[in-house]
Amino acid sequence: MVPMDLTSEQRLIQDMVRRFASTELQPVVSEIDKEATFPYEVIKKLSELGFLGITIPDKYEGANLDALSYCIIIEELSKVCGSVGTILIVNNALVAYPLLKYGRESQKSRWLTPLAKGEIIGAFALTEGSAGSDLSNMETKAEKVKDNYIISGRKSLVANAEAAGLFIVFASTPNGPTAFLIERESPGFRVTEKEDTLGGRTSGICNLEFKDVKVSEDNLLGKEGDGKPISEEALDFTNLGIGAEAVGIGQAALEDSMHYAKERHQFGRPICEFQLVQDMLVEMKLKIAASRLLVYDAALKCDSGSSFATEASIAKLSATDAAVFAGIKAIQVHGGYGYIKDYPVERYLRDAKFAQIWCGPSTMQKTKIAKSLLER
Amino acid sequence: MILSESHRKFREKVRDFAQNEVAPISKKLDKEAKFSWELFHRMGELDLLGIPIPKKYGGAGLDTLSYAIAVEEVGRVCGSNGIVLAAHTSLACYPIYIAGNEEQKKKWLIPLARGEKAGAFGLTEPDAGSDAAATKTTAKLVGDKYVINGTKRFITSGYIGEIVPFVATEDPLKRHHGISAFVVEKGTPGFSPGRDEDKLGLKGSYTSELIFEDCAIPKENRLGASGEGFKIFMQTLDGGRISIGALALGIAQGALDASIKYVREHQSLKKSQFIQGFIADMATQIEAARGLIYDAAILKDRGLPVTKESAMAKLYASEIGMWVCSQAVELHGEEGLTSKYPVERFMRDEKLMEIGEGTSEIQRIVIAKQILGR
Repeated sequence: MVPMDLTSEQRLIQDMVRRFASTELQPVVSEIDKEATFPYEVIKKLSELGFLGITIPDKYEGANLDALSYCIIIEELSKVCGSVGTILIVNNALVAYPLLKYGRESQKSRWLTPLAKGEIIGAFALTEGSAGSDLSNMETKAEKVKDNYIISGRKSLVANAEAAGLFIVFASTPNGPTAFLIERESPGFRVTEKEDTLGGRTSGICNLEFKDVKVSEDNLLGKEGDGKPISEEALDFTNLGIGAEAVGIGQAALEDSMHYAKERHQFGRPICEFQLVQDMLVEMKLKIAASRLLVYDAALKCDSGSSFATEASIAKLSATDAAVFAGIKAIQVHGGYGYIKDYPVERYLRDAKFAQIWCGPSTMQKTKIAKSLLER
Repeated sequence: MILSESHRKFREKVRDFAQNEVAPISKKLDKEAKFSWELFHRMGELDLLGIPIPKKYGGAGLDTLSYAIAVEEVGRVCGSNGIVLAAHTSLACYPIYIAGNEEQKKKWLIPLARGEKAGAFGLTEPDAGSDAAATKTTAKLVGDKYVINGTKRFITSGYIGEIVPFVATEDPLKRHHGISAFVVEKGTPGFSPGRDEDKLGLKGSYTSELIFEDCAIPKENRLGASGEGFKIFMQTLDGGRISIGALALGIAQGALDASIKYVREHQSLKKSQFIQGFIADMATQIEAARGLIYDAAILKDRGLPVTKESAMAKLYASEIGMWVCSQAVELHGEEGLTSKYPVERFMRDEKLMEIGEGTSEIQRIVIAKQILGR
């Protein structure tokens, strides 16, 4: 049941993040996207506000917030810069979340506080080139040798990799796909080339190489063969975040378009007076508003403790499609001006496209949703 | 659509050039945001820069259908060079062809159609986009010269345009009827290119400002009669629609080509009905767009009015093209977001097709007007 109103605490958080995004992120976003630089300064300031470890419990100095607050924060940041939303999703959903669910206490106390405080950034390395995110087809292997694992292989397109100090890495073992905690400085482990991507450009996306990296069994996350449930559950919480990120991007596209349509005059009047322009704005609004409700619905299910995997998938699919639509239409409303980098709308399309594909494109989400529909 | 033997041969010729000479450098041109003079000259050598212009005026003397085929084949590998070709022919050559006198055609159309000089068309202004008649650039007759003042923006090949037809108003109070068309040559004092835009796509082409500061041109540089400029540019845009539609089609075809290749290389995708559905929809929409474009081209070649058909062709090809390209990126998964595959470039290039030479919204109004009457 979607609430008609956010709680006063959630509103406070929304205001804080909105103001932060406007004063600290807005001034640099165009430049960092162009240069594809990781926003270290902004991340540092976010951590000072306590928003880096959104869902990390206060026992580990996290913000200890609920899933809906997580969505609100991601949405507000993504309105200004989708990539910053991505960085936070990785940290929270793909690193902190699996650690909380599957980590031993020693691992939790070692990593969660530095993650929450922004002293270390996390990354999640599963995808491998053309194998995509197919766990059963991974080429990265972990061989058990006494008390250690020797890991060799490659990972591609890992978000946050440029800045991360802690990596959750998936490798195959005789007992199935397994997750490991690997530190950046580990001998044999290299962050190789930085990828020049269409969108999500400032989330430090790089490829990784593992050459006989020795990992102690203390750094096994969960047990051998837990790779599938770990990644699936992490991806559920990630989908929720990406849904929120996409709603943010779409909302920005809509608001910029509304503003532009009021200011731009052609044929003697503001173009917002033309019905074909209004049509675009309305279609954007319909899709984004509906997606936001789907995201909130999934978040509330998550907070209630019940399974939210399907709802998160629905939210991700709906919101990212809405954001891509909004990006296309926002450029359209802006006409020639929408096509040049002086205006942010072309970036919204690029970041929306990234969100749509990252962590499972529509085909993957549809397969998941269909399975859940037919199981009932 | 079954093409004649000569059209098929022509397509082969252009495809050959596009696949062997343009395709290998298209990624680099985009990454470096570089215009290729080599390719421009090669297109000139191959008689591709004035395809529908009669041989008498330096063109290839072929039909609109051939022109559309050429733009499609180039666009299939490189949107940037596709738009350079289309703008050069439809926007720079064409106004001179329809409105120039013999002397003007000899002086400007021949070198343009032969590809000896680069062309650009100065229509759009910061405040005159869809409302192209809101031209603020002024032309004042002073003795036997016109003095031009104003700024044009978003002009394809503006930065390098050597022969540049453009519009200016001789009398703002007369609105449409005050507009006249002219030609200015690069190097004329008071005429210079301005900023070149940093764009989402089509990065291998220039999109620039043109600045006129007390630029004096001979009154013989006016095309057609005084006040005929609106009619001339409307006719120009009318004709340009088919070529932009063909470019949108070509880019979409390129995205489909890449997608088919990718799916064939990944067995698991080939077995997926979702993917089969995508490929089927992409291919079907492209065929439908091709039908509309070729149809409009054939009608034009028969001398029949094509306002509605060319608008439909442009509208449809650019809108399905955008969906096809967006779909193609998603089909390639996360790697589709990198330049390892051409699809993200095709998507970026395709977006302009819904905007340039008449937005989709304008096309809708044009089509509705044709159907419903005034």
